[in-house]
Amino acid sequence: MIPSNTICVSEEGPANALALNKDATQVVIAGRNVFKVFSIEENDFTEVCNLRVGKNLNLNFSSIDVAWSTIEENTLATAATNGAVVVWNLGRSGRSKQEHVFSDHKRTVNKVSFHLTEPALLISGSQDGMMKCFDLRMKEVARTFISNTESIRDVQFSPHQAHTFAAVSENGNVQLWDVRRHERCLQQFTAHSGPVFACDWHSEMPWLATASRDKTIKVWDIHAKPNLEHTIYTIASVGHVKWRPQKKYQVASCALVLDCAVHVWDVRRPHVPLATFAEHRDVTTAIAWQNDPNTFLSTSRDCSLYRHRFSEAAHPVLWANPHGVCVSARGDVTHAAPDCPLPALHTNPASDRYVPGLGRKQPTAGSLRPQAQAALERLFPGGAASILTRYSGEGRPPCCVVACAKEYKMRGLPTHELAEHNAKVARAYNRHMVGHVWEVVRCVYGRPPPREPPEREPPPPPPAHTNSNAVEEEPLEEVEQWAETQFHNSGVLGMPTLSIYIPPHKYKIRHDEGSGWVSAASAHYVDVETADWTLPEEAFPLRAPPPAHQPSILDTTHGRTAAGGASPGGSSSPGSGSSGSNGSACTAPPNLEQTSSAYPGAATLCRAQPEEGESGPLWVVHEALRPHVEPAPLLALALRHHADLGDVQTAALVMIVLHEHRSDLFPYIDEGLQEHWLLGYIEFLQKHKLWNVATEVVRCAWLSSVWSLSQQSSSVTVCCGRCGRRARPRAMCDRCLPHPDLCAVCRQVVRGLYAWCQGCSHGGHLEHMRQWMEKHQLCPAGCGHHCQLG
Amino acid sequence: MITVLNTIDTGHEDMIHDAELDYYGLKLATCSSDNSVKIYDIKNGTQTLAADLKGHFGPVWQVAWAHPKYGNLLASCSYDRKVIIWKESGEWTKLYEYTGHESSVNSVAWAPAEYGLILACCSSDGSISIIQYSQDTGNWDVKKITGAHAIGVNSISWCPALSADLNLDPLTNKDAPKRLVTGGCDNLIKIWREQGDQWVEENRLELHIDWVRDVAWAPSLGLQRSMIASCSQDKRVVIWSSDDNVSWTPTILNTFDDVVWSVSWSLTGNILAVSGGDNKVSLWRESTDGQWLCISEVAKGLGQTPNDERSTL
Repeated sequence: MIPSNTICVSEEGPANALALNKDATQVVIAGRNVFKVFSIEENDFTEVCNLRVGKNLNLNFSSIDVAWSTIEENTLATAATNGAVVVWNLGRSGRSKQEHVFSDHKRTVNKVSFHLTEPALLISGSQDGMMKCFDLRMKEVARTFISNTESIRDVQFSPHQAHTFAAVSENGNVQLWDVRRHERCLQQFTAHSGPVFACDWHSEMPWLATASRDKTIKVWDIHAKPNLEHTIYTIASVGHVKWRPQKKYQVASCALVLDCAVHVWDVRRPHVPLATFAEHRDVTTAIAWQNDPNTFLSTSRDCSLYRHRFSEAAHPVLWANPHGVCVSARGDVTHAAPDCPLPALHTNPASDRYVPGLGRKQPTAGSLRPQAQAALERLFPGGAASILTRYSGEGRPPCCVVACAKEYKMRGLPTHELAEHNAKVARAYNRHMVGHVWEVVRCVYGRPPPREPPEREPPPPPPAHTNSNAVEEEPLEEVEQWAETQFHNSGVLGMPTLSIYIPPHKYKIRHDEGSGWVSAASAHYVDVETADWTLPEEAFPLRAPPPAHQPSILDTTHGRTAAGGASPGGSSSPGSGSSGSNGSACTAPPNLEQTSSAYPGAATLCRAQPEEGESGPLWVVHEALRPHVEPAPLLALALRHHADLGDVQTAALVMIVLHEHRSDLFPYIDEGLQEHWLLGYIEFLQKHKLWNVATEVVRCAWLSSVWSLSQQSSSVTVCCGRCGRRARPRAMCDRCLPHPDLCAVCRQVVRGLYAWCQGCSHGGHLEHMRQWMEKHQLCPAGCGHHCQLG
Repeated sequence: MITVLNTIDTGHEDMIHDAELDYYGLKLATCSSDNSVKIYDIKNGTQTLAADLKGHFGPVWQVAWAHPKYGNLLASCSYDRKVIIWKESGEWTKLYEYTGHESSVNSVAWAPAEYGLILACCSSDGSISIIQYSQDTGNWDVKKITGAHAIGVNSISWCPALSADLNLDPLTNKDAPKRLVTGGCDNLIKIWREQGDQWVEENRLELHIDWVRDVAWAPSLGLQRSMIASCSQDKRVVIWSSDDNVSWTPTILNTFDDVVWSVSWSLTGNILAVSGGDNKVSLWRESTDGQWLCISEVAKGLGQTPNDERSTL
């Protein structure tokens, strides 16, 4: 994926260095096995000269660094691994361009640099810790500078003061020298905690950038006393650093290991590169700007030479996710967003295609249009700030749900009383929908003593299908449960024919309350208090109620179940009902599909949608008189509906509270879903640290998989009361052992009985503590705790 | 309905990439381009800085909290190709450092606690690592899916254990297959399933026409189906739903004005928070007829409700 304006050439071997001539039209690259000059054309490189020629290709040709005179067009210098500094003259006739070899250094020369104004001056920095200034006219060493460090990695003349040069060394020091004085350096300071590999002078500011193995680039103001201006944090040892021309704050760098890319940084934003050039497949060995801020050249250990155009840059900051959003268990929303967003990324689909062979390690998210890039450069330093905001998002429902979780009761009372209690709790927190479900549960599964106690004796329990000629078999235990249901319901007559409606003013009130949760589903809201559940006597002939009959279930699941409200027992009972023997009606609850298909339109619910006008009352009209309504499928659907709305609490808790009636719902809610609800609710409780409630739920669970949670081992950890560290059981804390327990009252070591408050863990002699507590309430240690001795 | 509690001055020196609340919603971890991870304790609407974790040498893209039953564990992933697992025992220290990726690690996610202590991470090198702590040996074992997404994987999320396989009875299905969803630079969303000791590609969901930036599998407290939210550079958010975790149906939640970067589900899996390039965060809820409605929207720092719809329980 080489961007169209990037040009590249492959070399015979990796180049360690490159240098441009003074008008940046030619480039020389030098390495152990390569030494060539190319001219830079518009679209490619043309080889001008191969300097690695001759019979004796000795170590003088093995270059670590190369420099091109900034004044003399034909003068080059290389630093060789054997310690030689070789001067080359491209103007020489013949194949060999070698002009002179200085063999003054004992060890590898790391760097050569020409003086910026004196054409004859060349300086070198070597592994032997010395710098030598060569006079090319005299062909001799003019001065030797002894750094007193192990090795010099880079030397650079200052563009501001003609005779000053900077040298960086492997011990992390930067030295400033006057080229005319070799006795001692002008200044020396420790710049990095590791070896410094490179430095570069800013062309306008008195700034020196240093690059180090400690993965940082530091910018020093050395106008007077060296002052650290900026630190850039990279991910790998920094091998080279070069200021971008005409851009005050921008500096390019490449890594010595790990990271193959060239990064351009804005020093004001030290963590994220402004631009990245990731064409190289191995680490970049050298970079040089082509005298203008928009193009630079780089060589790499992958044996390539590239010219990069800045317009081809990738911008990692645009790949980065600037947004984070998180919804907590408590319903809070946390959102991190940039203070001022960066320009939108313009992806160029064509450049997104993956080229397998190239093995590019970083994604290129397309390039930016010039205006966008300029905008990015402008905004980049200021785009660092993010704002982190917390919202109490859907804040209220979790509060209510948690409060309800604490107050709901799930055992110890008959179903209807629990339901009544829970309905009250739900209403107290304005959860009218949920309250309604509880009311329905209360009405369906037993009632408190009816207003007019029935004179009729309870109907006989259904005979164990001796006369059941009609319907399916039923397990015996269910019969017993049905019998019990029947008993609870004995005061109530069959399905009322009346219509139930919410007075418009009531409906409206609920809307106006900010806390009233009115959802689409709340169209089913039925005010149970206004509903008259008992029938006028004359509506029915007095007779024993059918065993399975239930009051109306109006809490249906949003139309899906509108027609599900009739039971087969209802249709078969007219015959058997008068006889008082309702055995055939007492059938296993058929599943919903059968019900609705068998009795389509048995009951019709006409609902007024809330959006259709708030005055639209809710009507439930039963066209056909059905003495039996099978509540189980409807209740099951209601629970499913609540679970779907995210209210697993209601679903789980209703199932728990139903106790012996629970099995009614089993045909409609498979075991997997039951477990799902219970575990979901337990997790919800745990997220809110309601351990007691969660344990209660586990205890009430009827599924072995949930119930067995209580059988899992608990671990108890003993912590030292003094330091809070974990201690071994029945042993003193290792750290605190040398400090015996002192009496908080008399400050003496306690031997024998030690009395202590479990609240604040302070204590002392039993007698002292007793005396103290008689007079005082607060802890003798002064911690402010209201102590209690057991 | 959505109101600003407060704005937190994090002291991060560069852009914040992720902010995650822990299991209880009482600790907040943020990570930033300034290479640091910060942890805050949240109490009654205020927060105090608890720790400033320095260990990465590059922008930290994402953080993830482990289930508290394993202690206070935080995983962070960074541009420096590393994943660091931090542990709090009095102080926050580095517990483990994973260096198995060749490029920026973009996303981390802890597996549901039921599976054990397992971390999944994905990288710009196109691969996914699944790192499992072995209680017996005390080692972290690594499985790797290479070439998961061409050019890179941007985001990863686990299928909740409870919904592991809705077809199977969870009572008898304790060994339900683990699943992962990833979103990548190849515009695809892929679902991975563990098969034996291998991870295989089970599904690929195609709809986005640009890089997928974030994927999030909905927690499924009580829900009867699986849902995955995905958001992309193509400015769209898509909800993928499935009854069996095998066949997936997409619904386009909305097309936004700008790139959508991040999506997050509420605990009950019925509210989705979406955050995009327009610097807005919006909350979405599915109505009973399957339509997704924006129930709240705020621009940076402002609390407002777009309409009077207050649809909640």
